[in-house]
Amino acid sequence: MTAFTLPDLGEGLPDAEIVAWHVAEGDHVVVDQPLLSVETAKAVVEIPSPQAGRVARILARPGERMPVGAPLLFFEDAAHKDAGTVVGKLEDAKPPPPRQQEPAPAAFESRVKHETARATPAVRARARELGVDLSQVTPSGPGGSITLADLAMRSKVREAGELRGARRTMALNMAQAWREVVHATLHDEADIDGWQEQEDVTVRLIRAMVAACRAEPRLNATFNAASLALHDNTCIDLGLAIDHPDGLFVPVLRDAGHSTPADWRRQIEALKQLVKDRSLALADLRNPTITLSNFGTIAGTHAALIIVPPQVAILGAGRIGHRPVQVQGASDLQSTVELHRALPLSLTFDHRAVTGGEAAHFLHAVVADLEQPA
Amino acid sequence: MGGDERGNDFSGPREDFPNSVPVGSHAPHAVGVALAFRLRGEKRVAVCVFGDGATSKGDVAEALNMAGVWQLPVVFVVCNNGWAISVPVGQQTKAQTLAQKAVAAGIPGEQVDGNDVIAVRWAVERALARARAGEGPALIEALTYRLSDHTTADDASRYRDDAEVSRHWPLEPVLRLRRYLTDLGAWGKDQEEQLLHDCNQAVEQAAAAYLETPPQPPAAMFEWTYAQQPADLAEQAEAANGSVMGTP
Amino acid sequence: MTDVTLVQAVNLALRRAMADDPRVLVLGEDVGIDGGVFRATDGLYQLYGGNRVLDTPLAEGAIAGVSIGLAAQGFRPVAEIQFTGFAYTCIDQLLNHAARLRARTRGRLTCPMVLRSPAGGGIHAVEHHSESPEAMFAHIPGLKVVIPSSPTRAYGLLLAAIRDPDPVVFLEPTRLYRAAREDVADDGVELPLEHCMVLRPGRDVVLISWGAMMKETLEAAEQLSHENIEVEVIDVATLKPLDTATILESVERTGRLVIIHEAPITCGFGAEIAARVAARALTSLLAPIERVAGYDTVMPYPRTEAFYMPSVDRIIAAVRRTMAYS
Repeated sequence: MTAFTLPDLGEGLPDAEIVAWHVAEGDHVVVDQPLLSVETAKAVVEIPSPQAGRVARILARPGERMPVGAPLLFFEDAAHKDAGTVVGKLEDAKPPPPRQQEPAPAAFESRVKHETARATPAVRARARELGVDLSQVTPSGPGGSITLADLAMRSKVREAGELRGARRTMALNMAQAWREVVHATLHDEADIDGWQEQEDVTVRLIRAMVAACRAEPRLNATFNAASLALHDNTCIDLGLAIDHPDGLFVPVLRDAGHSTPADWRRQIEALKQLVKDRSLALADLRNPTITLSNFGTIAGTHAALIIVPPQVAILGAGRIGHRPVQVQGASDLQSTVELHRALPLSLTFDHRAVTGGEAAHFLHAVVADLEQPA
Repeated sequence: MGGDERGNDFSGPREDFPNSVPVGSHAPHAVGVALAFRLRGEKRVAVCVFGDGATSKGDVAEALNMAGVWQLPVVFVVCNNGWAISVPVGQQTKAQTLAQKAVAAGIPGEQVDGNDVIAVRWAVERALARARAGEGPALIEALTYRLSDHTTADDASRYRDDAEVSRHWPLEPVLRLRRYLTDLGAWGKDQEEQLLHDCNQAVEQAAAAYLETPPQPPAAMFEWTYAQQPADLAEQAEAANGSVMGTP
Repeated sequence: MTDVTLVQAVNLALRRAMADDPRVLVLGEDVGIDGGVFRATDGLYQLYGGNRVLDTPLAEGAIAGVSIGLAAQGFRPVAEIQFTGFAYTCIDQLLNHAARLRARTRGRLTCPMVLRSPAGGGIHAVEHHSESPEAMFAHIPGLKVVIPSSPTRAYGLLLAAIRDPDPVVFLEPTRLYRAAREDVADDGVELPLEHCMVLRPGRDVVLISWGAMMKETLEAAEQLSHENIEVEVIDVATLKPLDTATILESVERTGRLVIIHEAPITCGFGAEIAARVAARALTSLLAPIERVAGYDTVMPYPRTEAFYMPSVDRIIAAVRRTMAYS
């Protein structure tokens, strides 16, 4: 490093006191740039730099008295290291590690195969609550994910949770119906002993209802309680109650009056499949004009069912059984009792809109059609 | 300029703005301040200082233009020290002077020897008086030379000749003022010594005071972001302070 | 009560603010004698004159910069940028100065300014007039970002923005300027900032949006209700600072979230909401978070515009995807 020494200030003085430095270590200085101020007897004198360069080290402090010729600062010798910036300080890179045998891969590919079950966080949380092992659950959600419903099926704990979906709808609709509709019920039975083997019961019931709607259209009407308007419908949109673990579904056979029994059977099968798949469309459920509930396929004979407004009637068909009936002989004395197959019927109607007589006519027509052998 | 790690809260005039780092972007602020003075009927002037590089910025042109069209009490002072880091003013603009950019804005512009402390003071005072009197804005170009590197990290020898810098040292303003006052008999050794001593002491004391400032807790970052701290920022502040584990 | 459009509600709020507080100023291009190209400042110049309603030269950066100077001096400037397409030059002034003046000066200088501008597309406009830059502004520390979706909310939120001690960017949905109309009480009552508004309660899924897209969002909710899907609808209103609590509460209850915004999807503000929900309500989620947003393209020309804008159908489809889980 090159030293800058205190020059002879020309007053014959051997030394001078340093008053102030005008540069700092690290500064880039040029020729004639004032480096420091020193005090002589007569004046405070600025001393210019004799060279350009960078100040490496300052050797004296203000207040110190330095003899002429004493080194005051050192200039850097070597080329100044480029800071590589005008503000701040940039860190230098660390020296690289000794060269390895193999070059490191640019990026690591994950070799772990994703084995765990797919489930959203809420489902996972619920599974933990229920103590269900997700790997044991069959997924039915999008992308093969496990849904809450899948968990519920699997879970041993009966979930006393809030109603959702069809059950919720049923709870709300039935409550409203109970509040509004004035339910009255007629019971009867159809003697179906004359039926052939393998008669399609549901189709016969539908046929009977269609015939009855023609005989007594009032039971196929729409009743608007708010405006007290009663509107007879020519078109028969027959709601068919279908049971499902998720709740009650009532898909509609559209315009049943203009379809054949084969049509009805086909439509029924299609609707049952849709219910099973839970892919019924809103259009399939809208606006039945009258409903059939064939609960007898499970159990029960007669029932007072609930009408969902704005319908005014619902027909319930009970379990087919045998009844003793009187069979007329040539004379009264020759009457006998036989056991005949009978189909119990319950017609619940909205007494705000339908009279007992109208209901009875309807039921009579139902029975009459059912009692035909074919 | 002033302040420390906690922010720009200096002891000087309380309405002054902190230094503007995006070059020239403060020129419209000065126009806004001048407009405020005028709307309140105050005989005050906003002074806006920037360098030769700033005169290339759109913000500066917009500010000069607005000050002119609204005739606001604002004085723009261009400190033309010949260099914007490594770009000499001849490569900054083809305009022969920076003062003439005032012509485009329709306001008076003049040059002054920026190394002459007395001349600069005279020119600025005149412009301030005119502005106070409602005679509108002005642009003053103070011609000087940047004797140091742009910053202590800069190495100006990469782009300019040391010899050229040396040639400008004799024009250094403090040097000239000292010579002038000494020739007048108005300055001497004792005063020089005292001034150097006082300046040294002030700097040393300020540096010491700064070093003694206790370090701020992390939550200090969040103060003063808004007048009232929003909930999500309060959570971040807590997390930064380590009171709450985990991310917000 | 007066039956007004959204832009008229803005005008009412400006009148009220200027009447109540002499520090409130309005500045911008064509805001004075012309009353603003959308008539947002209609009548103000006639009422208050050129010292409070200033027609500026054409210089958006300076409009923002001058507002900063005025605000630091104690005024409450409300600057209008004619279209948000021209507001990008203001980001320098807002980000580098307005939003950090209080912090830089430790409260010695503050910046209570409002920068208001019509935003959003669907108006069959020429290029650059259909921008949705809210995410860029929301990224700036120290700034507030407010977007009304109805005349009532425009009135109350603008009053709150003007009275706020910090800088606020107020983006007005151009598409609703005249299309939204309702009774607004000119009572000077502000609506709170940092507060998400539940416009419709629901149980099955929550739709979150802001600005003009609230219209499509509410329509989608109404349509879905006919299928017995109960949709909760939230209007964010203040994007920054964000009322995270209201959003989290909705997600915890419903388990399904769809975010709708017109701005391009990548780095849109919906991403911020999604990230906060994922961090704080993950175990409540029954389905992945859906975003229905603009594509990562410039808003197309008028005839193709409808394909870009998030439609009621796209929103409904997103809801259905969430409902397919569990």
